[in-house]
Amino acid sequence: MTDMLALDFMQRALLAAVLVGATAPLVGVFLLQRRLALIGDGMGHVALAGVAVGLFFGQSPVWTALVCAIVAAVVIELIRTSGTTHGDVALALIFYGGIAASVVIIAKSPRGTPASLTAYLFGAITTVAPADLWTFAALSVVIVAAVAVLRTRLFAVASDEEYARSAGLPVLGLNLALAVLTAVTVVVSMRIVGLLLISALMIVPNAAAQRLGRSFSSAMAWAVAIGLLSATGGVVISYAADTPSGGTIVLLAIAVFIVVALGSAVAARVRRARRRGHPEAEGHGHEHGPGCGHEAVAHGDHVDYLHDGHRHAPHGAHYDEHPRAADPSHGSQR
Amino acid sequence: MILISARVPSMPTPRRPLTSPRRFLGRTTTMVRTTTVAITLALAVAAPLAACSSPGAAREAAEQTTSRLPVAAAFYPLEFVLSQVGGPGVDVHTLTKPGVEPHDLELTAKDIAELPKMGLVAYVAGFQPAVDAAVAQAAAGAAYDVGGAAGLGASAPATSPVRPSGSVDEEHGHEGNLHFWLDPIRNAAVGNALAERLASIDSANAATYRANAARFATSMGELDQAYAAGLKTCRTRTLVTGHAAFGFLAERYGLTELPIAGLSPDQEPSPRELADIAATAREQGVTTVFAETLVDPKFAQTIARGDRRAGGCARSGRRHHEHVPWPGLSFRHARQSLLPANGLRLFVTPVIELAGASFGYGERAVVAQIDLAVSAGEVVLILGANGSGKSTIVKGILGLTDQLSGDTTLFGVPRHAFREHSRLGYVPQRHTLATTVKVTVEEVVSSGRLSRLGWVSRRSAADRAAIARALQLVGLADRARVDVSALSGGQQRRVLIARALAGEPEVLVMDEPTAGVDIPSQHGLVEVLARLVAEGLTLVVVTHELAAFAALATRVVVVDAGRVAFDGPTETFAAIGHTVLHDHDWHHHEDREDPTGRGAIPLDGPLPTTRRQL
Repeated sequence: MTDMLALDFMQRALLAAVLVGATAPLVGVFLLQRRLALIGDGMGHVALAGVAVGLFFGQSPVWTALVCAIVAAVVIELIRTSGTTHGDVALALIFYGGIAASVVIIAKSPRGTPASLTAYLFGAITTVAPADLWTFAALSVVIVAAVAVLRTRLFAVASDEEYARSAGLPVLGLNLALAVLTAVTVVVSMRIVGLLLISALMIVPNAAAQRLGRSFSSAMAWAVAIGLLSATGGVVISYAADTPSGGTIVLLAIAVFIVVALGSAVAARVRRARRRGHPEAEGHGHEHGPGCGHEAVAHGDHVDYLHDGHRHAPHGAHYDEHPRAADPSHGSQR
Repeated sequence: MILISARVPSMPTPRRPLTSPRRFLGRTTTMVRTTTVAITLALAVAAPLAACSSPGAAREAAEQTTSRLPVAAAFYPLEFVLSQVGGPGVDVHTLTKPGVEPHDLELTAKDIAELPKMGLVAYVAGFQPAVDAAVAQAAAGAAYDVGGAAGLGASAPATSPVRPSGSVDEEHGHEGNLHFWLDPIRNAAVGNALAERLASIDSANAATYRANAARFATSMGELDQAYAAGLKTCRTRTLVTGHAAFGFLAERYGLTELPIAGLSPDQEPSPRELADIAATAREQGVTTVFAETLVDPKFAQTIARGDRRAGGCARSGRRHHEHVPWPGLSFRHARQSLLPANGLRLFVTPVIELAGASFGYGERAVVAQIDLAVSAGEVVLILGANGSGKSTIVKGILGLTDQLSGDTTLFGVPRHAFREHSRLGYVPQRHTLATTVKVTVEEVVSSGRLSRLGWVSRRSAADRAAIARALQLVGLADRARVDVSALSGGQQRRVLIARALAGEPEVLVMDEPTAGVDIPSQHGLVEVLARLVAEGLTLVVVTHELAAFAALATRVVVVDAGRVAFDGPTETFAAIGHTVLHDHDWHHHEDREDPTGRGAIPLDGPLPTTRRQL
């Protein structure tokens, strides 16, 4: 372990992993919310063309990829917003045009062969240059700051675009901001996760976090934690097992997802079993509330409603049957 | 009872000749109506925003014909008079832009930079502190205070018995009232004075200015005649108004003004004063309260709210114990004492106004030529068959559909320029909150607060209180931390309603709020809405279920095939819309097998367009 940390490139790879692990899920949650889970994949295709252009001209591929990805992000969002019937065809043109251009440009490039694209497609821990790290750090700060400021608005637009518009939010601007953030995240991730796999790191930690968090914000925190765990863990395993880092990181994230999914299924079963001592009011179509017509009775820390001789207590989305008299064993149940 | 009402033209062109009194008068967008006598005199009045189309056109014209005399008017009535007496030879700039509260005007740096170029700056000293400061600093030579010509300070305006005359507020520095333009004679005097002033600046065109002023004075004289004739036989000579703007008008025509607010619209009346005004109004048989949007309409409603609500479902005594004050509402106790009041009518400038508006998507109009004015405090039901376009109308109001023609005005501001989105709440037509991620009830409701938050500001205690209150109103306070996808459809609808309420809107637009909601829950919803309406909320509800809202509604609008087929008070609708009411299945209208089924509703020709009745 210590010998691994003594290696410069491993230090840089781990730092890059921390940046990717934190930022990708942060942006990804809004993509998941908007059912655009695969948009990052398309942007990765276009960023690859940027990489090829950079290699061709001997520029830093990170910057050319950033420019290409941001331009693509804006164009994609504008096409999506315009709602034209051929929108998906236009997107396909952009995505596959990107990947086709990258292959052709690389083949003609004096400095690269199609084989050198593999490192960008699937990630490689040895490729993080010191200058890249500074770039990634700066871009990550931009992402985190933007999400911190825009979080509630991005959430509002993603959950109900029409409502957001009626509330006067700049819907197009926020959508463009999210598209650009996605593009930036794609670029930050391209060294160690790879452009073909980055979408997975935006989505999979969030998918797992949905089963752990109880709210949007707590699920977001869980997703960042899972992203950090997968990215840094993936880099370490990749070093130890000599595997491509991107694939390793994504497989680890998927493993976490499976564990969480199984765990939450088991937990739900256990909860159901426990609920046998916690009777739920059956077939309860009516909503109790102030002025619902049923007498409200204070019961410890909550209110029961008298319903045909039963005492109903709201609990989550259903109503519990509460015993009529104050029951000392009952108070702790809620 | 005879009701005649006049529409406020939403965009009158001030340069039109004054053939009718209703084109005239400025700032205080107000109507006068007496209903006990079969005479109605309508004064309508161009709101300040009325100026917005014409000066732009004037300026364009100015660029073509060079060397027009640039002049500035502090606010709309002065702009109007200046453009009348100046004619095409002057280029009038207005310092108080459309939709801006004139008393609280703040000038931009550009406005002040333009001032020295003006040949004349007409203003009223002591009315707008920002203008006073700017002319002193940048246009001392060109400044002209019309106060003297208008006879301001020469006589005290009539005031209410409960508000002793001479109660001068600080915003109206000298003798208080400055609404000279509500008196045609004073207005004509101002026109003459401005013409003389223009003549001295631009002597080449002196004759033109004097001729224009003479023409203006003639039209004002005609207006004066019309007023005098129209008001001669009025039985009631007491005028209850939102704020004390009509002193000069009342004085000229022998009326007594009974203002709710003082000379400054934001001066709040005390509960005692409200009660006194209501008592006086009742004694003198006043039937109508004339108000404007500047004054918090809640105050006017407080006086006007009558027996109709007293017996309604909104008014069981216990709810007052639960009451959490809605911001800006401090009249809970006063309202209770005024409840047995008097069935007064309330007349207020519309908070929503559609004038010949067509809405649709792209090129295709779904609804066409809609005229609809909603005043503060109204509860308007929009009924219609599926596909009739009723949702399109409310989406058009909210800016969610394209406006293809006509005008939409929100709180006196054209839709495209409307920025105070928090004043307008929206509950979309949706049964559930489909979400792919975990979101708590509180998080959804919090997003309704965004229209009131700055980009970097954190949620304040007031924001949290508003969110908590919205949750409590819809009965979901104990579910705040529950994932919305775990809620039933009815509960999710309540989350959407709470989201709209969290923004503390003045007007709430709801699209099918009761669709798919069981009857007890509908009653719960209507009860909550009734409580909010009692606190001053204006409600526009698109619904199939008239029954649920019948007790609450003040007005019904029926939309049929993209047009307004009926617009009138609920009582009228109940009478003549009987056949429609019985036909609960609106789908029947779509196959049009029995067009006579709706024969009682006049689909063509003049429709009853009464305004607010309380």
